[in-house]
Amino acid sequence: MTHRIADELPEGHGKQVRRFGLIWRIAHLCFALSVMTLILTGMAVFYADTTWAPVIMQAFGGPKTAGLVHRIAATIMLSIFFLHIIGVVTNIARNWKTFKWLGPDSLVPNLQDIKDIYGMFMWFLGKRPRPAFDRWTYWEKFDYWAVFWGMGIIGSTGMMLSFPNITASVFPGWVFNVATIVHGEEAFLAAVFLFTVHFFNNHFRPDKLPPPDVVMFTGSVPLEEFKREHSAQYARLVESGQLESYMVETPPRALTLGSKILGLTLITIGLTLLVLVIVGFVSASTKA
Amino acid sequence: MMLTNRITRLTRLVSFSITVGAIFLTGSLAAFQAEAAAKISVGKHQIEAPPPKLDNATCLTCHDASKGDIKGPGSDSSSKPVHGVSSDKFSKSVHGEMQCVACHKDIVDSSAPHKKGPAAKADCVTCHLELWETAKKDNLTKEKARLGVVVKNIETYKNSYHARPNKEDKTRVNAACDDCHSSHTFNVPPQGTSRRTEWHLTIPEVCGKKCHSDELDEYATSVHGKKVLEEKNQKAAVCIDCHTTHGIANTSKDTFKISITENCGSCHTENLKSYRDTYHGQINKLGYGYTAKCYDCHGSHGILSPKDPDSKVHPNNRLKTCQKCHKEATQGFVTFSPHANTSNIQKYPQVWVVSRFMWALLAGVFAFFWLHTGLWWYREAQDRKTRKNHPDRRKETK
Repeated sequence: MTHRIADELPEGHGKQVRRFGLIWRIAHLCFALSVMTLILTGMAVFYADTTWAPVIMQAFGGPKTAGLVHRIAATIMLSIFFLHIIGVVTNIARNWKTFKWLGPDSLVPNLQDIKDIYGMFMWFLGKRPRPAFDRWTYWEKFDYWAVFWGMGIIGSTGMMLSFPNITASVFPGWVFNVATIVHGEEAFLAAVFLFTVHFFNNHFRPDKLPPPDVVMFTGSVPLEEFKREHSAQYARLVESGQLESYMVETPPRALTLGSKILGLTLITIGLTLLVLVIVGFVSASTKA
Repeated sequence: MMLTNRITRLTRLVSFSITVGAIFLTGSLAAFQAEAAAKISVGKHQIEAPPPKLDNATCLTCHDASKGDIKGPGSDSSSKPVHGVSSDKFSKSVHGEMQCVACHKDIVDSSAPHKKGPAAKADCVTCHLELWETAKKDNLTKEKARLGVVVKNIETYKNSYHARPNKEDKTRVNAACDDCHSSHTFNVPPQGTSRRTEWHLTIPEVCGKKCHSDELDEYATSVHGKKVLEEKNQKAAVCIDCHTTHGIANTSKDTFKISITENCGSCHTENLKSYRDTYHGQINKLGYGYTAKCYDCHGSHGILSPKDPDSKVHPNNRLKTCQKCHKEATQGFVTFSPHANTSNIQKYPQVWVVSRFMWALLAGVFAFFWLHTGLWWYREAQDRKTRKNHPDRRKETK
């Protein structure tokens, strides 16, 4: 009967639960915009064979400008990534003694994630009720670590290709061949993953319809949704009496509306990029 | 005795048949000429039937190239060389049925030196445009399709570098039709014939002899040139295979630089494909000519086999070649493979391994997550109908 407790919270205390602080939200937005810019300028080269690629190149004023834009976007993306690492490390260092690496607030994968994956598939097949998730679900953790992998792989190969003279003074030439393949294929993976799986999980599954989910822009979710999506965390917070400290005012209408417009814009751009990438993939496969 | 008789009879028979043959041949030749003349006067409506004394035979009495170096009286007392036409080659050319004066309209007399008449010498373009218009009017475009091709080539030519006024002599173009197509012998054989092959092999001479001699000299030392000029290899590239024919452009133009890449690739297909997978090739495909193109690395007229120690892409010379664009290029550039592919494990083992790893990674991630997504969609949609996934409901039903 735990859900009743929230229902009995004093009126006017706010009906939303905070999930993302302001800095994380700004970081996510800048990250999303820089990644989209990178995908647009990069895929126009990767799929140079398509009819859309030269159009994009001309819009940028040629590959030299597009290349500069690509490098600026990469710098923004990598800066956010490294600032994020500094932030996380400082946070953990500050709470070194109390931080539980495998606890519910940590993004480190744990045994519960394996159980949850199993539980989700059992639910998919209709054999069990849906697992109750704590603060971070396993797909959210995957999204998070996938960025680490992606940054490492795309970032490092991008740097190698950006500074060929330094690269070639240390490595043999086949590194360029390998880096070109890895950079492109990993970018394809990132783009298609973001605009299919990430979009579906957060915006397009039946419980999230109609898109967009604005939690990444407003920072908080309605209590009802929080109870449904993170029932284990909800139960835990109620049990420990901490829920109140997470409760915030419902964001002002202007913020919610602005977030919806922003969310829909990003989703539209993302889906457009997805179409361009699919067109490129299909035309490349039919030619080969 | 029998033998002598037989020989005598045979000789008679032969001489008789020669006589009959000669009479017949002369007759048919006359008939043929008459027919040709009639054709000219009918087909080329504007051209008057030539006066009897100005037929081709009359012209050839002086202008027959088979007579060796021929000279005629000049305008002053000196003699000057006479323009010779090989009657044999002329009769085999596409214009072989035409009268000399059909084009040389300015010639009105048969005495040397000619007193030039008021009409200007016919030019190829005017005549051919008219022929095509006539063909279109007569609904003969299918039968005379070749005339349409000529007109199309003329249009292409008009935008070409050759059609521009010459820098030194503005009154003439860089190259006119008859600079490449000798109007007296011109006859491009149909594609796929052995005569076409022979014709193809003559192209370097055509371009190189009169105008592009430096290029021809360099070409003669190249792998293409040796194959064509020495081995008579019909498959090796001649000038027009890379530079195109009627639409030939200034080689400093970006669009033309890019089209040369495609032209190399029409023979070297695999290399074009692998080139397109590199940044050089991708930017080139996008329509920009500043990244390395075939000839930037391999050389152009003097191109050599990569195995040749003098080749620009031979490992010993490669760094220098890279440094033409990548001024600071370091040693590692030499072992970059500008034509690597993902299928040759012997030649490109690292590329082979890494490409397969990437494919497996992509396949694995998408297989898992798309399955995850598909099933999730189905289950959540089902649950929404009954709302049995709601935490409250779940706990209460327990």
